Amino acid sequence: MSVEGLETAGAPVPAAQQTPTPGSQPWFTRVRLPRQPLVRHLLLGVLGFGALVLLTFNVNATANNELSVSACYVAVIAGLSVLTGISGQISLGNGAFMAVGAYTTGIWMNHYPSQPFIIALLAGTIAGALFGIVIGMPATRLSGPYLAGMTLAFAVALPQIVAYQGWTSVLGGESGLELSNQPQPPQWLLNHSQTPGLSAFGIASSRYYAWIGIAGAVVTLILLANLLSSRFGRQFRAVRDDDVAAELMGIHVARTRVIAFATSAACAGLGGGLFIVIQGAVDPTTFLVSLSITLVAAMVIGGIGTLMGAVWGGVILGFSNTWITDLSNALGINPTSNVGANLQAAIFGSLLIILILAAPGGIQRLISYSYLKAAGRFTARRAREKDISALT
Amino acid sequence: MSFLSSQFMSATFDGIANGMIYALIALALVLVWQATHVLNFAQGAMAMFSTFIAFTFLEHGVGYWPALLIAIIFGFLVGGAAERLLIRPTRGKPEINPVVVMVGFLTVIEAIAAMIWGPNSRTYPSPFSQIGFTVGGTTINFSPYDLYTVITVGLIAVGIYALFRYTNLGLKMRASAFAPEVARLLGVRVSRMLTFGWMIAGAIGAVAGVLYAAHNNAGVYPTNLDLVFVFGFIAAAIGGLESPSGAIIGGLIIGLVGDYVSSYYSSGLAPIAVVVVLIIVLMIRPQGIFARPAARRV
Repeated sequence: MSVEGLETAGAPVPAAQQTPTPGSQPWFTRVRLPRQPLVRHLLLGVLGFGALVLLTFNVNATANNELSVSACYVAVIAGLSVLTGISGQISLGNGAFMAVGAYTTGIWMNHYPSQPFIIALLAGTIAGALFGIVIGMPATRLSGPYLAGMTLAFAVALPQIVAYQGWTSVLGGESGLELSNQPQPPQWLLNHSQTPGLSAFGIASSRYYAWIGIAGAVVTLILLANLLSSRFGRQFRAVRDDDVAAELMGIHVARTRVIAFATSAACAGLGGGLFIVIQGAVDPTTFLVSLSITLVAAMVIGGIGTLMGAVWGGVILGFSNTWITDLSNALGINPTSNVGANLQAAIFGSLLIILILAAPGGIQRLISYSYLKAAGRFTARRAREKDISALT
Repeated sequence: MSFLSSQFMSATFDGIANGMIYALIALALVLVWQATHVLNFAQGAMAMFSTFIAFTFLEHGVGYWPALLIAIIFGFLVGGAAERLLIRPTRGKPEINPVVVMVGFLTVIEAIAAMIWGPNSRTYPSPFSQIGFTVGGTTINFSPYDLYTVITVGLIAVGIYALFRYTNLGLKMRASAFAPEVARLLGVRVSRMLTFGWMIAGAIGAVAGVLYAAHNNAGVYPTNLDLVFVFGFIAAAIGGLESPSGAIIGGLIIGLVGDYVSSYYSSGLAPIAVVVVLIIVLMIRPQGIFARPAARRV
């Protein structure tokens, strides 16, 4: 159910909206979604959120924890995917923008303990966007590898800056930043856990954090889906496909690129903010350059340029630690040995190369291919039947 | 305490030696960029792996110079293999595909190196003393090893210049980079020239890796060239990505800026200071300091 609910939310213009020929009537018109993007995306978002919340009741605390971390990654990868797939630029530093968001959110929450954490998350998002503008402004004006190189430089530099001793009092140095008041489940939820009949819904805090993460990811996906069906989304695509033609059409190319980059940095900031809210603490080694590269790998695995692909990528990344540990156990490799500890990086790196060379669409392309194929066969048969009935 | 051993001059001497290593990486990046218009994100990792290969031979009793030669040959082969197997299939595809492939290659190389040799730093022997020269009774922060570094980089730079300027092969390579179609019509094996550009870059990277491993006892470990790669990229970008001489001067600038910031503030701030230098340069002169502006820039 969860999968279906979000699947259509992922593809901004899925095949379902492209009614083929006027004469034939596809079978899926019966589930036609609202035409207005906002209504459509909200509906799908609410459905997806509901389904995932139901899911959190059926899995244990470990899985809920992984689910909440996955949700953070979904928010980050969705922004990265829009940047790469829709606007045609690539960032190798979104892990660093996550750090910006996480530290901003954490400092804000520690500084204003009475405010709701949503405000701190907003601050983290805005901080991510601002850093994105500063880093992106010089590099996005140029075509070529400047943005990728600059973001990689930022990702390499950032952990050392965060750990810089002069700022330990603010950023916590090597030992990291801890939330003094991590959000706790509200009292009414805790009360209900004692209520007879509702005790099955007993709230573990991991479940509550999973809700926070999922809500953040769903809001991000809804906003990005709306952005993509707006003027900005069309401008992103125009600039990606032909920057000269876009410029001639009156699109401000440099500004469009910066907007796309700042959007992805804002998503990363929000993902980082959610991360610290859920985990309660971060330190400089949370956001090494390898995280940024892993995010790119997860995006490619999920499917570049589709929001649903970001969901697959985020889930794979969030659960990958467990899966890799299982895999090394199955292969008889000690997970803490040199081989076991680097298995994840080796697999993600190899997948990155193989997928880009052989199947650049990732998981989402595979799914939508088989979906379209099934739908196409069905439609063709209906159309044939209809034609025959019309003839007789 | 004379001027030569002052903090400023110490940082300057160290900055020159560091800058020369960044310049080598930058030079390798420029060669690859000229050949295929790809920024080789795995340049640092390839150099690291070549250094580890040399290190393994050293452990088995091979001398410093033969090991260096082995690293160079290995870098040469890996560079060619990377172009043939990873870059050629991405030709004609979106611009980000080679970037993603090379980032994947970087991840794989670092993971494999960590699997084989572990994450810890290994000491790499130095063929010359690391203790500074004594000038007029004071010890300066410039050792015979630093001199060896500067001379090696200088020789490579002269060699590259001579290759492009005076040899038939260099002329063919320039033609392939400048006008592939015309060069092909005139009988140049363009694809072979591109591979050769990558091979030279791989070999230069290997030299940089070996030089860096013993420099100030940096050692060799799977991620030891990440930062050097970043500095090298920024040096190349400051020089305009197209110009080998710009790469050398860019490396020197980055080395000095990095060492001044490390010396007067903290080594943790050096990377961001260098990023700021790049931001300023790109804002003022987007095409780099030493490159001619391109005709098409949107």
